Amino acid sequence: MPSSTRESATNKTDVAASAVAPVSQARTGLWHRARRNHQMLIGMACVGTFALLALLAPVIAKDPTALDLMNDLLPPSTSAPFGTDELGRDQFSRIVYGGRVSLQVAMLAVGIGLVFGVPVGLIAGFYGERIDNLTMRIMDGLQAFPAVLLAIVIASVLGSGLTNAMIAIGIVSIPGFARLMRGQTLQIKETDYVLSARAVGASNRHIILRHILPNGVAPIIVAAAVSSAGAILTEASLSFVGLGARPPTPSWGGMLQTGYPYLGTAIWLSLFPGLAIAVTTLGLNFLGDGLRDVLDPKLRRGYN
Amino acid sequence: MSIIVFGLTFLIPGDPVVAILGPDTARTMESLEVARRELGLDQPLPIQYFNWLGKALQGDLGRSTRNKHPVSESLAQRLPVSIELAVVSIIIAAIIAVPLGILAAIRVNSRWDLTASLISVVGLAIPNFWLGILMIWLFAVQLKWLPASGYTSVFEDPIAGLRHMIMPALALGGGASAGLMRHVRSSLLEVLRDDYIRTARAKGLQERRVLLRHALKNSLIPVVTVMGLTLGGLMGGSLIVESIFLVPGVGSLLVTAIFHRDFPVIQAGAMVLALFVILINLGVDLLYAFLDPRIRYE
Repeated sequence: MPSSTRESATNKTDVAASAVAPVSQARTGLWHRARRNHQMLIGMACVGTFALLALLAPVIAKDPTALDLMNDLLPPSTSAPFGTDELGRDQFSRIVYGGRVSLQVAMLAVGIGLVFGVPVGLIAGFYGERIDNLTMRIMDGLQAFPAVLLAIVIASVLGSGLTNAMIAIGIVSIPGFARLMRGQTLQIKETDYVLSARAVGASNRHIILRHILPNGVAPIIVAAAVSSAGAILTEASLSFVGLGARPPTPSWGGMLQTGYPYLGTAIWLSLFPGLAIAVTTLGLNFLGDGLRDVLDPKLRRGYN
Repeated sequence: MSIIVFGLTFLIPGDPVVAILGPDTARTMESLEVARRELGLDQPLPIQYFNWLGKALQGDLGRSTRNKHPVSESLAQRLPVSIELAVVSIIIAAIIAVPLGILAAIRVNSRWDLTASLISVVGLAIPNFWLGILMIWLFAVQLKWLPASGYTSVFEDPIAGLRHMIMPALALGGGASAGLMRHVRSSLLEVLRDDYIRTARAKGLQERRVLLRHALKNSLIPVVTVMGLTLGGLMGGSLIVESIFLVPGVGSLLVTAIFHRDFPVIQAGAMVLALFVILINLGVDLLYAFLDPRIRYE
């Protein structure tokens, strides 16, 4: 049995060869389009800066948890560019390390959303009928709740802590990916190349993994960028109500919470962490929009 | 219906006993067992769930584990406040989003369009509670124009009520308007391409009339749906915004409950908010059929 499937697979590569050629051409065009897409460049610059800062944190930042009670609530200066907080900790360093938390959350939460959402969408869309109905009703149920509310409820059930927050945000992001992948699958399922793959005897598994997934993945990538932005916002909300990273681990939402009582005297404590959140989410949204234009120019025409 | 039932099941927490007794105190397994039995938590999960559901349907949502208040009472007190905030917010969001969206659509790719889309992109990226904090700093701390926090019912004292309500509503509605504006714009653009608009123009109608009577009316139908969804989303955002501005609504009740691991309150509060969202969505669906007679539900 395995040998025959293998044979049919090689046959199909021949059949598909003609279809593969324009794809690789499009790939070279991709890079070209990406470089001319300003939105994408701005997005990459914003996200890249924070990613770089997070990576190089030990090199460029001081210990984010080092207390210095003699120098608390200092306004921004050359030695502490973003000022110090109520415990004298250097806020710049805390933002840099907080970036690690935010990016980690974004990656893991979106990872959970992808790992569960994409297969669910593929299976529901491909097999249809009962499976489709059942899974999509569950997804409807999950989506009936506002994301922040659901994440807060899940996180409060799981208990505070960064891992639980990431899981909560990840669960919340599953239905979006599942729906999107299902829609893509429904569309691609009806295309001629899936029909021809079926005609040469490809298995369902092969069709799903080799035809539907690669052809339907572009909007998923875009959605991943946009939901990373959402994940960072949600994490900030969770940390703000004390359900995210536990102190003293610096996180942007947590910093806003501890800085809030000092609003009248130390605005910088409320200003910079929020700015970090806004710039990162803005960058990710730009990146998503840019990717949409680059990966699928057809969508752009539809949008305007 | 299945959605609601699923949602209810979902809100049953893992092990509230540990949370009630406190995780760090050296509790013996026995005391855990006793507490479990008292709370009926030794029974299988489905039975627990139906017990809870049965009581909930009779209006008994249990008592707060923190101050022993009946949960249904505090919710009844706070829900109108949250609804008031949500309604004011969505009105503000519409006031910002609709004109900007229209402007962006009738001058596509102009400077207006660009500015509007820039505002919406930035608006989407700013966390609403941060916007709230910045507004408190500017309008309450620096300019001293508005009270930083608190709540007065608009029905008792309209002026003081609005002064308290305006900042939280702006924080919530401002963020919501960003997404809404995009929908107004794209929806109007789509309608403007339709044949009947061309017909209206060909008849020699004034552009103003074409826009207001023909295009806008039809383009706002899908916008109403989005507004409903946004209103639901606001309920999520209200959690944090309410606690920043000390608005005594369901959101701030929930946040306090989360801090104290007050599970009956968390369950019931989240339930009420979720039910509210579902009701709004249902209302929007019905409204949709009313606005667009082509849609019929069987």
